[in-house]
Order: sequence, then structure tokens, then C-alpha cells
Amino acid sequence: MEVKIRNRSRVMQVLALAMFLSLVWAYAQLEWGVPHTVKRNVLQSRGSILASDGSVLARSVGGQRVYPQGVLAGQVVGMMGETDGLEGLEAAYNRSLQAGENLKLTIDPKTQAAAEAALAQGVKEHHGEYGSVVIIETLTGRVLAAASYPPFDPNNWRNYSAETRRNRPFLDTYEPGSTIKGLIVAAALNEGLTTPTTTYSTPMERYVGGRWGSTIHDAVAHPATLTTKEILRYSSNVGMSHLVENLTADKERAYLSNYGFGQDVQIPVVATATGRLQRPSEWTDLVRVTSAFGQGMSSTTLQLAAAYNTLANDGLYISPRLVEGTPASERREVIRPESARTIRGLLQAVIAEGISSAAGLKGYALAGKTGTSQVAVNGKYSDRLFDSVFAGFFPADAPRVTIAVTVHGATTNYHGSMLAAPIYKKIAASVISNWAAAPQQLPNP
Amino acid sequence: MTTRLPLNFDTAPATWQWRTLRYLSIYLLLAITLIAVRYKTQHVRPNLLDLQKQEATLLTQRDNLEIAVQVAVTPQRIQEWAAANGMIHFAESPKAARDLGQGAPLNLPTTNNNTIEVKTQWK
Repeated sequence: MEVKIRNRSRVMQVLALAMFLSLVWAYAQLEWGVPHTVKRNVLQSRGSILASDGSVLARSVGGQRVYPQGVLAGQVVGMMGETDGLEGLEAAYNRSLQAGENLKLTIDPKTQAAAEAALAQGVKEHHGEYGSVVIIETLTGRVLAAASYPPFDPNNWRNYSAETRRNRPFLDTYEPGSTIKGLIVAAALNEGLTTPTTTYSTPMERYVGGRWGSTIHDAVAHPATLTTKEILRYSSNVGMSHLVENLTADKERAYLSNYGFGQDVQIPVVATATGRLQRPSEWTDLVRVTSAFGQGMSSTTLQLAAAYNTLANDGLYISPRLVEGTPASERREVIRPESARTIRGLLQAVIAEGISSAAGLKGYALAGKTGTSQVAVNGKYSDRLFDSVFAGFFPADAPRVTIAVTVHGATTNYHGSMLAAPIYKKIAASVISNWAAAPQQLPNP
Repeated sequence: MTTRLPLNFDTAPATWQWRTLRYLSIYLLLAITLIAVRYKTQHVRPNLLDLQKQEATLLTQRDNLEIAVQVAVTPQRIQEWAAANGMIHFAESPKAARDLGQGAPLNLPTTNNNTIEVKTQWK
């Protein structure tokens, strides 16, 4: 009997040991094997990010995240960590991508490539620090390109600094400078305060702002009197000071606000900067005048493009959008269609009569305005650090595309007409060539 | 509670031995058949696993090739190639206007003035 019991207890011991060892084996599998598999599966099942023509910007292959287009829209797309998106759209749309859904963007690869190439060439030639470009489809607000320089390749994101990974067109704010003149003249036309042929006395400098005022200067030599059309062509600050004399601070601020400055851009999920408009209580006479040529406020390239798109789109502001299938979040009429048509003619004349070699293409009606703004360093405007800006659209009579360009920190030929305008021209040439639009003999604007 | 066996139930040892042998042989036959089938098809599962591995490898290769193609034809590369080969944008090409004058009159086919009269009678 005792022998029988001993044998049975041996069998039980062996069984218990076997069960214990199987537990150890299972735990070891959990510890070493499964997490790797889980990570691989999470990455493999992650949705792709596609451009508007269906080409792949981000995709999972063999358990790895790859970006076939390399630097193309690198900052917009962002990059992946171990299992989650870290920056850009990879982070903003992390949840839906993890659920296996594809994300189709409004970005057009050809337009994006054209913007990146022109921007890179301009920044390098003029020894700039960085730059950005935004291109918007006029009628829909679809963002066709959002380019940053220096370029960023998400495939090797660890090799790039946080500065380079920054989605500059959406996040960098700066003073838009004289590009604002086009928008303010449109507001004055809309209010019936001026016409294209209204004449103003325009010395090269003028004291404005009463007791706490300051003397404003013009950079480009011009006649002693200028029409509204010529104020834009010569980019006269003095002329603008006259032009806004009857535009109240409240109204001027409201127009700028309606153009989207100092407001959040209503792009769902994606991070954008708000920029700055001074508070209504701070709008002295001096602020009213300096705001008319883009000083004392700040904007992103995206906001500037959206504001100019309002002029291109018959006065209707449409919030930009980056993802296909999402409707524009905001639509509002800022100026009347006839005012928009008038300002489009004036902005066409800026290029045709002023900077045709820098920003014009023979046979095509391009419109736009340059800006050169000093950068504030330690509360004072630097005389060595500049932002070169351009905003415009084409074709001027029935715009299809709006473009804003900014280059920061160029040390040679940094004026808007010398740097940002040629970038605009190069992009326009590429876009028009893609359209295969035939040149036309244009009447004088 | 006790169970009563039917009266004609054969409980003879010889009968049960025979039954045991019969069923045991059937069991052994089935077991041998199973083992034989398993032996005959032992290559199927390793082959299946191999094929699954091959499929995974081919899928990865296909994905990698797709990406290689996309990388090769990115708009940047095409633009760079075009610029390096001296091409310019169509919109930037030099343009000239020329008056082509009045074109030669077109020899349009003469219109046939024959008419057809149709009378409709309603009944």
C-alpha cells in the first residue's frame, strides 16, 4: 500500500513540475516574444498617408514605417516613434491611423515639389536661414503645398534637429510687412474710402501718431504724388498712412481679423500658430498706420496665404484644409466681389508695371505684393535681419491658386522683390506648366 | 440498486476474449492507418509553413519594389533631372507674338437649297 502511495506522489510531483515549467515557458514567451510581435503588428496595420493623387507619403512595410517620397512634405507628414506618431500628421491623426484608416491629404506632390525646389534654391542663393511656402487652391481652400526649408526626411528623423522638423508654414510667425498693403487697400476700396485713381501727396517721409507718434519712411523712390494704384506699386508707407486716415482703428482691426490674422486657423487637429493682432485698446493712431503696412502684428505663412486667397476668391474667406473630404470649417465674406476684382487688377499692375522681371511671366496674368520686414531682436528692429515676403495669386482675372512665400534671415538681396518674388515666379511657372495653360496677349491691368 | 442482465446475455469468457481481440485489432488497424496517413503526409505542414514564409517574403519584396519605384519617380527627382538636362518650364519659355494676317478664305461646301415639303394629314 505504501509503495502505491509513494508512486502516486512521484507522478503528482512530475506533473506539478511539468505544469510549473510550462508556466515559466509561457512567461518567457510573453516577456521576450510578444511585445516585439505586438509592435510589429501595430506598425504593420497602421494606415497610410496619401497625397491627393494617391501617391504614398507614409506607409508600413515589413513592420517598419517608411516614407517613399523622402523629404517631400516631410515636416507636414511628421514621423513615427516605436508605436505612435511623434510629430506632424503622424501624431495629429495617430488614433485613426492606428485604427488602420488611410489619411488622404490635399497636398499635390508636383506642386509641393515645385514649392520645395524653388524655396530651397532661393534660400541657398541668398544665404537665408529658413523659409516657408503655402499654396492654396483658391475656390476650395485646399492646401496644395506647405513647404519648409531646410528639408526634413522622416525616414532618418533622428538625424535632424527639432528646428528642422518644424512645420514652419503653419507655426512660424513674423511681421508680414508690405504684403498687408494689398489687404488694407482692398478694405479701403470696400469702404468706399478710395479708388484706384485717387491721388495722395506722398513725400518720402511723414510724421504720424500725434504726441506718441513716429516718422515713417518710404524705401523706394517715387513721385511726390501717388495714386492708390501707385501706392501699391511703389509700396509707399506714407501713401498708406494717408489711405487709412478715414479708416477707423476698429474697422481696420476688424478687417484684419476677418482676413484671419490673430485668429486660430480652423484646420482640425493640426497644430497651427495664431499670430498676433494688438488688442483693441492698444490701437493708437500710430498702430493704425503701422498695421496698414504690416508692422506690429504677426502672421504665419498659412494665414497670409488664406488672407490673400480672400482677395482671389471674390472676397470670400475660406479656412484652409489639409485633409481630403473634410469641408472648409469657416466661410465668410470679408469684402464685396467688386472690391476684390478691383484689388486684383491693382495687384496685377504691381507685377506688370513694377516687378515684371522678378515676379512676372510673359503671357500670364500674375498678381501679388512684396514685403520686406525688419525682424525685432530684443524689442528693437534689427537692421541686419530681415524677412522677405511675397503673397499673390494667378491668373489675376480668375484666380485658381494663391501663394505665400517667406524667407528669413537672408543676407544678400533680401528685399521681397529680389528674393520672395522670384520664388513665387518659379512656383507659378511650374504650376502653369503643369496646367499646360497657353500664354495670352494681356491687356494692361 | 442492481442491474439485471438479460437472460440470454452471453457472459462466457471465450466470447469476451474474442470480442476483445476483435475490437483491439480494429483499434490497432485504425491507429496504424492514422499513423500511415500522417507518415505519408508529413511533408505537407512543413511545406505549408515554407510557402507561408515565401509568401511573406514576396509580399515584402513587392512592397519594397513599389517603394523603390515611388522613390525613383518622385516629382523632385524628375524636376532635378529635367533641370540638369537643360529643360525649362513651358511657361518660362520665350514667347513672341506675330500677326499671321488674314487667313485664306475657307472653301466651305455650298449649301443645298433643295427643300422637302411634308404634308401631314390628321385622321
